[in-house]
Amino acid sequence: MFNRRFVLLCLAVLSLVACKKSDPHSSGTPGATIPGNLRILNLGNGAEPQDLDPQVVTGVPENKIINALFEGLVAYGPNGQGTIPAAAASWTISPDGLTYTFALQPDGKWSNGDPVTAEDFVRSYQRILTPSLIAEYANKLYAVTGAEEFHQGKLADFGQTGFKAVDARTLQITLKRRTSFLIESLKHYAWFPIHPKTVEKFGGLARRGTKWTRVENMVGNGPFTLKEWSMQQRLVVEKSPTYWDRDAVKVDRLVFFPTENIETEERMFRTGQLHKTNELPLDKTDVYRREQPESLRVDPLLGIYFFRVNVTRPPLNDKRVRRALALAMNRELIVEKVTRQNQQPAYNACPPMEMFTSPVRLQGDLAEARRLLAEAGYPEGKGLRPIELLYNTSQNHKKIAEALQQMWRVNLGVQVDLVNQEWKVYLDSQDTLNYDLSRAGWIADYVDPNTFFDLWRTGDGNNDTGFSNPDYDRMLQEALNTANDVDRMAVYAKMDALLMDEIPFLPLYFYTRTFALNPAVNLPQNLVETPNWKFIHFKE
Amino acid sequence: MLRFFASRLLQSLLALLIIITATFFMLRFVPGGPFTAEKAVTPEILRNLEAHYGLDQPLWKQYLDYLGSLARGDFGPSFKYPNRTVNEILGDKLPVSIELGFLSLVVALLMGLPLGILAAIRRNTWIDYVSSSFGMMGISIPTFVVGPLLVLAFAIHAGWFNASGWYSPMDRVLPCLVLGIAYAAPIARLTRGGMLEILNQDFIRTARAKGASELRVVFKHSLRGGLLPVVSFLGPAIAGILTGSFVIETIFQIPGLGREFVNSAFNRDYTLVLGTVILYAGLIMGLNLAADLTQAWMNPKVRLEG
Amino acid sequence: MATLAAPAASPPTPPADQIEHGSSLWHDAWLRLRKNRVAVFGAVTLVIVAVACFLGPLFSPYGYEDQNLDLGASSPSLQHPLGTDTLGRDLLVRLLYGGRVSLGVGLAATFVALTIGVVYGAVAGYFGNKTDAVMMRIVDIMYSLPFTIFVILLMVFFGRNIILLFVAIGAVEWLTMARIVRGQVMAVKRMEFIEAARALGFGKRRLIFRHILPNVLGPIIVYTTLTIPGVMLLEAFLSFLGLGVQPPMSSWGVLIKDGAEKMEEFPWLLVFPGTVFSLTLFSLNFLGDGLRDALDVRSSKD
Repeated sequence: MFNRRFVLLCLAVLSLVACKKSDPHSSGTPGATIPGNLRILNLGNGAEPQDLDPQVVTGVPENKIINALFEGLVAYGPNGQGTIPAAAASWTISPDGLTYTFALQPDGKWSNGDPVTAEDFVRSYQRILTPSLIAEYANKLYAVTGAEEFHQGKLADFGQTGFKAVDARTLQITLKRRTSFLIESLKHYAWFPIHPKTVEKFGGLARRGTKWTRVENMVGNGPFTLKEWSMQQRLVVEKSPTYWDRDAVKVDRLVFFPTENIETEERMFRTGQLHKTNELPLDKTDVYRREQPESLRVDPLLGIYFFRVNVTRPPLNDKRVRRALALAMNRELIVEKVTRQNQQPAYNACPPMEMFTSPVRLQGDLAEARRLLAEAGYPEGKGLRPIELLYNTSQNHKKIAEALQQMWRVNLGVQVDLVNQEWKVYLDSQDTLNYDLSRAGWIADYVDPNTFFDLWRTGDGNNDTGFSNPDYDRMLQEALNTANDVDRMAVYAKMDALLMDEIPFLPLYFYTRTFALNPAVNLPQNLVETPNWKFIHFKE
Repeated sequence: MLRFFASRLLQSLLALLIIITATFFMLRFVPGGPFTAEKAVTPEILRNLEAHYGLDQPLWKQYLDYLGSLARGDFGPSFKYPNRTVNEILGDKLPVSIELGFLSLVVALLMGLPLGILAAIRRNTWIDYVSSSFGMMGISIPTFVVGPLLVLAFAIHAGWFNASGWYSPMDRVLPCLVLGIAYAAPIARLTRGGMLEILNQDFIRTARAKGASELRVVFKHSLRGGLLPVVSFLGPAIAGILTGSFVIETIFQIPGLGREFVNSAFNRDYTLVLGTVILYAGLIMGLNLAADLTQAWMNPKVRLEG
Repeated sequence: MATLAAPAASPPTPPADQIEHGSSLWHDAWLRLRKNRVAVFGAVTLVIVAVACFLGPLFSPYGYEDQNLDLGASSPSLQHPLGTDTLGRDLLVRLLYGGRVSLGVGLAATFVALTIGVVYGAVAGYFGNKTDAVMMRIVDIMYSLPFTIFVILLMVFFGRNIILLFVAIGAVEWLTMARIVRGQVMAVKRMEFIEAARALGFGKRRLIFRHILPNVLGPIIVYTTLTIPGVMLLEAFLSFLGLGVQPPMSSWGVLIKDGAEKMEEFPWLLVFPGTVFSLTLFSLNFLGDGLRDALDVRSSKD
């Protein structure tokens, strides 16, 4: 069997394999300079992108890439905050706050040279609202007149919706009610345009999953164009020669690496394969702090880590039990000793942001917690059945859950059993209210408190707790209808107070985004992780 | 021989059908579907998505439709990656897995066979203990420890390799080494065991008495019989390397089938799960057939039956 | 050539302590095993580990779930001989408790896999023809079914349960064992001594279990010793999926996995569980080799 022929065959195959040409795109060394002094940025991007169609995808990894390939009407500024013109050069808002008129960039072009017109935008909006596309984020456009009806199939003529191309370079959007955060929400990719002719060529405007996002077919209006997409290997985009603001783009190539395993990603950073990681393992944060602080970034992120409470199940249907559990959590200890990534302990429902810092704070100490528990009929936890805490498989969640389990046991005498479920089973358990407590996280869709408060509406798809309060629902509507921002924030403050009284969830902390960044790279912070790639570059 | 072949083929197809059916229905019983997501979608969207992929049809109809498209060679669209078909995904990943598997197997055989043979012919000497211990370490230190260790040593500290990826030929070295070591250990032990069985037989004693050199005794007379347990093991082992290298592919970020095998289940990507299962099943049965044939060739006493 | 002499009287009975008793295969094997120092060492180590795991925690002031968040992960010290993990829990106690789980699951699941696999493989190998074909195709089918889905299903329908862990693991491990046994049986059944036994009129069951199986024990034992570590690590993977021990309880596989992720910062979290794990496996293997050698009727001890 191991005669000469076999050995020769092995050698032949081996040499064939070894002859595969070394790859020109890869850069094993930091700084990534390859022939011609190209500036290449290598980024760890988390999961493999499902697709690159801005109107079909829903994830964060896709978000980052889509922001390189496409451009919306407005975008985040150079420091990651505020609003600057993007595809729209300027805009006006009518006095009644219902009509927005956008003047598009005079030399805005698609990557194939076609000018970007208002009609392109209108047809893009038609596409995302066409029921057969089954766009999961179509409801982000519902503030526009007729959008919801068209999407539900109740309105047949798209011309009757509030989207209008006044002329080739002027787009008009009419809302059915005032939405103070509309400009903010335009930064989300659900509002990005696609090139209608290209999409139509590959199976029709409103068909899902066609080949128009392939490298050879893709047409976008963003600062970069798609160069290579090897599934599970890397995705390469190159500076677009037709982009209207190409002089501002200071990087020639972005390479997105799918990095599903965060330990592997961290090792890639250390060998110089990556300039930026997507995340950092919890235990490495301290090491970086000590040894490589210039490579560590801990950015604020608008998000909340909390535990849903199934308020339909006894004994959790008793507000006092919920409150006792919430008060017995030592948030400071968790944040300082367990997660150690500068997270902020959360005592309310919404993280602080520029326009809204909630006056509400969950009040009460351990003594109060014990008192409440006793009052509810379970002095020192006696008589209380074991409560199950559900979390999805992850080292970090496990660690936090174990710490909390211990806190509840020692502080309250309450037995909490930990249940680790695989991702989809975990999601399903929440959807079907088949749990007691469930770990959860919520990241903002846009910079406005509304994104944290509309979760708890009765029957909202993301409520998943059984919490239903007509006062709350009423206040939510009221906030949406309030013109004045100051008054609107006051309503949110009241809602926050209601939530911290009813406690349909146990808040733990507000997120930070911790990652490793090569100190040679300039990367502004962004509260919702939507990068504006124009302003990301190597430091001079 | 031909009859044997044909009947095995028929049996395999029948088995494949059963596997497809079982997997198909098993998938529908687990909670969570392809569209269960953290940021929930509205019920209308969900309904439309299900209609688009035919998930709203009665289950038996979906099953028959699927069999129909299989007959045409179409594994269907992926649920998780809407703009790719399962055929494409499998087509992209299979070559990678084959390369990884083949190279790792070569490493495993190159390390394991000599170790096992040496241990058998020098049984109970220090050579035996050393090579057995080597083998044992390969089994008792899991790949998710060896992998990162090697990366730390050779990629990060020595800087000879990338930490992960499958781009250049150099990237093959570490993953294949780790996977090879993991399989070298059982191969070494089974070889040792098998060889010992043979070496104690009378015909070996005869050969030695006749004056045959040790080399001849080992290679010409014992190897065929001694490698029997290894061959039985190799069948499932090869299939395992090709599709079960989940840990290696995760550590080294290799775009292979092993990860897809597990992740597609987590994503409830029904068509991709079925695609990988069919591929795996076909592979297993093919390899088992090859193993049986090899066994028959190596040990004439085992006649091909059935 | 001796002359035909008259038959002698029956030989005198030797004293009692010099009578050689008839010996069975097992008795001989036991004697041989006892002489194999390495195997004995393996057995003794195993016993020590097992006893430590089951009785050891009684002597520790710490429980496996007692956290000390202020302390966090600390290297070995007087208070914590093996150090603590990132939540400040004593590693020694967790290692011992984890041993209970791993040894229990490892041995029990392997035993189940062994029993089913050997019987199944022997029957298939012996009868051959259609029986073998059907049985092996069934093995192929079960091999190909997606394990992950199978586990998730088990979890959903029957809840989390240590018994289920055995079922899941056993359901997978017996397949390869069956294949190997079948291969071996097919090789052995054609040997002369089997034909002889058949000619003597022994029934099938006796042939299989008393004549064929003892002769295929070698590879079976070897493969068993290979299976056990796989089972223990499979348990770690299953915990990852949600089936398996739930925190704060842990097992060696989980401890090693956790340690591997932190091996640079807190090496003791990997070194100690890894060493104990490897030591146990080495011992098992030396014992297994010893057993194999002891049971090998043709082993050249000359």
